Amino acid sequence: MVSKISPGKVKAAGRAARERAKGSIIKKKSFEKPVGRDARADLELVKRFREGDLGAFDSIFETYSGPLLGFLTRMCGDPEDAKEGLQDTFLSVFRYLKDFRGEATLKNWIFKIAVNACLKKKRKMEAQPCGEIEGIRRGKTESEDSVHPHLLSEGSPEWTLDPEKLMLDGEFRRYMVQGVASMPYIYKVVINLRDFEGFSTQDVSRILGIQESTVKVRLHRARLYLKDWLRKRYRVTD
Amino acid sequence: MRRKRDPCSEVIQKMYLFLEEERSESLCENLRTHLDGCEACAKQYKILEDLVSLCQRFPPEEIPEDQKQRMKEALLKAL
Repeated sequence: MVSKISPGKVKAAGRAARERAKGSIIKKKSFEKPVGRDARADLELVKRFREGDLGAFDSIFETYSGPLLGFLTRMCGDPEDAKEGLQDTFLSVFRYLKDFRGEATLKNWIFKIAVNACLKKKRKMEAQPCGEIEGIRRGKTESEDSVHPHLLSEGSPEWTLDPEKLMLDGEFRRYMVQGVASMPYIYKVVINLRDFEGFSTQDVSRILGIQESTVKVRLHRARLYLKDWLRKRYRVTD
Repeated sequence: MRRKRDPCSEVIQKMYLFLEEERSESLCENLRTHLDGCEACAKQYKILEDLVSLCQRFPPEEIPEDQKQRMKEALLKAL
C-alpha cells in the first residue's frame, strides 16, 4: 500500500530515476512533450503503485510534474499559485489512484484532476470572469466569429515565427504565459490542453465534458486572442 | 434579417478547420481559392499556423530537484 513508501526512500528513487534518464535519448532539456502511456502500461503502473512500489510513485511524479506545472502556470498566471495547484493535483491523483480503472488514459485522467483543481481555485477566488473574449465576440452566437481578417492585419508587421528560436527566449515564453492566463477560463483551458499539451480535440472534449464542436470554436477564438496578444509586443520578421 | 457575410469573414471562420486538418475536399478548394487570391487572409492563415506550431513547442516547466524532493516528501506525508 501507499503507506509503505517512506520519504527517506524518495531521494534514493529520485537518484535512480535520474540515472535511468541519463541513458535516455530524450534529454531533460528536450522540448518534446511526454508520450502518453498506453492503457496496459497505465494499469500496470497503477497496480505497482497500489502495491507500494516507490518506483511507480516516482515515475508518475517525474512524468507529469513538468507538464502539469506548465499547464497550471498558464492557467493561473502566477508561479506560486501554480505550484500550490500542482501539489493539490498530485494529492488528489495519489489519493484516488486506487479508483483508476483505465477507461481513460492516465494522462487524461490526471489532467482532468488538474482542470478540476483550477476550477475549484477559480470558484474560490472568483477572480476570473467566465465571460467571452472582448473584441472577438460582440453580440454573436458562439458558432459565429465577428473578426474581420483585414482589420486584424491592419498595420501589423510581417509575421514569420521561428518557433525554435523563440522558445529559447525566456521573456517571450513568460509573455506568452501571461497571454494565455489573461484569457477567460473557458478559452484558456481549451488552448492549454489542445495546443500546449497536445491533447486531441476528442480528448479535450472528454476532459472538459463539452462537445467537440464547442472545443473547436473556443480553440479558434483563443488562438486569435493569443495572436493579437503577442502582436501587442512582438514584431517578428524574417 | 440575416446579413450576408463577406468572403473574408467566412474564411477566417473556417480557418480552424484547415488548421485542424478536418478539411473536406470542397471546403479545401473554396478556402484555397480564396487564400490564393487574398493576401490578407493568406497572411492570417500563416500567422495562425505559426502560432499553433509555437504553442506545440512550448517546453514543460522545469522544477528544481530540491523542490521536487520537498513536494514528494510532503505528498507522502499527506497520503
